[in-house]
Amino acid sequence: MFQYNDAAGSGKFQSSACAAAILSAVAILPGAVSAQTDCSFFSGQTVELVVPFNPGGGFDAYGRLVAKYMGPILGADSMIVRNQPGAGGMLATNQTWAADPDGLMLQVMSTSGMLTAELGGAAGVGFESAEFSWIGRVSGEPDVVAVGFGSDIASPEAIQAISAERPVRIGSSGVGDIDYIEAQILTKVFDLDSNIVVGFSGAPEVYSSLARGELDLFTSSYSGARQAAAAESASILWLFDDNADPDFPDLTPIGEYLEGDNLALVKAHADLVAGGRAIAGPPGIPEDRLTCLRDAFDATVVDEAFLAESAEINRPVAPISGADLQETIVSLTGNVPQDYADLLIESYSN
Amino acid sequence: MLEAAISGLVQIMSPGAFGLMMIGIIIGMVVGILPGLGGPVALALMLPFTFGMTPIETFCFLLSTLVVTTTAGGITSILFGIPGEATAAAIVLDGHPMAKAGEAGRAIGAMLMASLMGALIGAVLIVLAIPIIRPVVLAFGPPEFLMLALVGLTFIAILSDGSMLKGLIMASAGILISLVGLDPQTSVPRYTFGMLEMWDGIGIVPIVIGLFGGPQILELMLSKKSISTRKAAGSTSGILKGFADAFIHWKTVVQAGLIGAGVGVVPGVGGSVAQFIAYGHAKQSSREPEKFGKGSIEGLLAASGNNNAKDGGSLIPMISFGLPGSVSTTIVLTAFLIVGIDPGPAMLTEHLDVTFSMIWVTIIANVIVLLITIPIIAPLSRLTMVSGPLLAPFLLALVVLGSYANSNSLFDVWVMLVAAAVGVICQRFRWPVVPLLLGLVLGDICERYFFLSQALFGWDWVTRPIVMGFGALMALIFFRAGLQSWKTFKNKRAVQ
Repeated sequence: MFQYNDAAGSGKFQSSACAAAILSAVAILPGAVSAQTDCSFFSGQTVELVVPFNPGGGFDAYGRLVAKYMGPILGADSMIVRNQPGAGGMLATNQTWAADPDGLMLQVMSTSGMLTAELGGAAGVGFESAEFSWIGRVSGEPDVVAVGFGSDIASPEAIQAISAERPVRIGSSGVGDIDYIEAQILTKVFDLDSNIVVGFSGAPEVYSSLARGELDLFTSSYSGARQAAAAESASILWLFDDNADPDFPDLTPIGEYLEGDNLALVKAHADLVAGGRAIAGPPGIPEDRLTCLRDAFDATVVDEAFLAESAEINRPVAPISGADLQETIVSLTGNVPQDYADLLIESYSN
Repeated sequence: MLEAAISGLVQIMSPGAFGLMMIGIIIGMVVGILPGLGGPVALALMLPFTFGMTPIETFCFLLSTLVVTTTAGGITSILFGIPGEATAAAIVLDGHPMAKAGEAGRAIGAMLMASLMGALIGAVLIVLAIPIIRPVVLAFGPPEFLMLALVGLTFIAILSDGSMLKGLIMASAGILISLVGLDPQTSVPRYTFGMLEMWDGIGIVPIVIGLFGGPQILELMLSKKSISTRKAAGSTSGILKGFADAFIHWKTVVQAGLIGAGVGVVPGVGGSVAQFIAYGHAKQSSREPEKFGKGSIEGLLAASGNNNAKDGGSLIPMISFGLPGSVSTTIVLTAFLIVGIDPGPAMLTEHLDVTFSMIWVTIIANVIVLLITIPIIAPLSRLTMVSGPLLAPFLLALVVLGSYANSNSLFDVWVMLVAAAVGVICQRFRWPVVPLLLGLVLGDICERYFFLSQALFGWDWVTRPIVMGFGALMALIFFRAGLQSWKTFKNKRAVQ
């Protein structure tokens, strides 16, 4: 699966980071991102980076951060960010899919959201994730399972005991959202009688409901859960993962309580979630331009000023190179376990 | 607490923080005055500039823009009858008729003073709430939010401009429009006609701009006259009279402020509703309800007094639980992440000075905006004397740009144009547009919180004490509206 940051120690990731570091050392000058490839095409051009959500959120922050540093490294005249919200990011993603693959239009992708929507056959999907020209992953973090602050729930047995008395209430923003899929997975792997309560406006509202004791469980990104824990609305219970993560040594993965098909189900989903926030362009960007974009991205994510700014705004980066990302997404979409595919189809089958 | 309050004040008066607050105020004024270009977009674009700032500098910068945007939105509402912000729509109802009557200066003066008083009310409410802030926020769940939205809907009875049937039809149309988009329960697209642009529903911003702006621009173009022909539009005496109005009708302003702050505490309901509840309440309580909509100073003060109080109220759930009440506060919440502070109990203990600095900003920014606006009220008011054919293309460009900027989508421009056509028809045939807006905003909230309440509590939610309290309030509103209609009917018969 993907790793979450450069401290993770994955062989796959380390090799790409090394390559990027070497590239950045030799080719940090504007317009000279690759020793082999001629990137003069980008010189004097404006590259557009579409953020498929409203300004102000995490996608927007990462988009602006990457654009600020990647544009000059690529040698472009400017790299501008354009927010194109709509349909949970699908509007922009469909437009990027159909855009001219000249390398001048890229998008920040909600990789896990687009993969689950595609594999689940969601309405409105007009793209194939594996066909996009992946430039690289900027960030990724695991999801976690949270309970209300001060809740007694501390083990799968405690949840199953609730389930024996009444349906376990699990919060979700909406049918088909990642938290809805995770609620379904929890229901299946722990064999629960559950009531997945949908319709909240977003994670903060679910967390306030958890704080009021209206819900038993909720899953969200680690950063969302951490903020809720600091606000004493929730406590983080488990990592939504099959294996322990060295970056989160205090968190037990739910995989520890599972085996066989259930473990495979959690793994398949955690692999998808790890896709995080990535940059991609339309399918069919010419090979030489794609190489320039990937090289520029790799050089950006190891740039000292870029890393300093990402640390300053508390937006950690966890890069993966475009080639590795492409390979993994092709593999994920081509080899999805049947159980997981069925669950996704069920999630979107309204 | 006093120590933290003083520390917060001293810190925002430091040269760095104060300078950033001034920049925030100027950005807020420009953004507020331009229709459609809203606070959320401005705040989001300002976020990257906060890198490296201290927490107090960051909040000075962002919050000053947020509160000033709200205040300055009222200036456009008064002068041109086009809301500068969606939250300044109710100001149009009486503020613009005053401008047409040559009282733009008085209207702006009254609006600014009422906004400042509202900000003070919001600030006092937060300070009073600090010891009980968390239990108060926790006492409100989906059933209470639903009831509050229903209370908002009952104001349709008061805001129907004398024709209840027309009001109900318009409100129903608003509720129907609110159904467009993904069903919150099943995520199935409803009435979207295969267009992804409609999955998130129809935006309130292009609707507000179109409904109010359409008739005004058309009127300017057809009449070929200026908005006002009176020369005293922005005189100093007019401005001072406006200030005095806010003090003379202090009860109206205080009540509007309390309503604004109260509604602001509830996440999701927000300013686009609070303004009409405050306005409706003022109309119901007024001795001269017949003047509302025709240039009533009370109506203007109620619409202006709630806005900044609402911003203060919305800080409460954000500070205590990290629960944003609006798009703007969602962005302020992002700033918490940037400065490395977590909302929650620490904001009421360890970081209490930061909390107080936020409260101070809401007050001081409004004082400053009042002071810097005084010298420009006169030239601004003279805009109402520019000839219609000259002004109309400029306003048209602004509303088109404003609706496009809402989500960078031409679709929103079309929505604005359709809303403008509807606005023109409504004005021609005297159909009230406010119930449509209430239905549009509240329909969505009612649906979401009704299903959430059902999923969480079954029908037991009906017996919750606050729910029953709101139920009693609704009954009272209906009773008073009925009584007022009966009195009007009786008076008419007596005259006949």
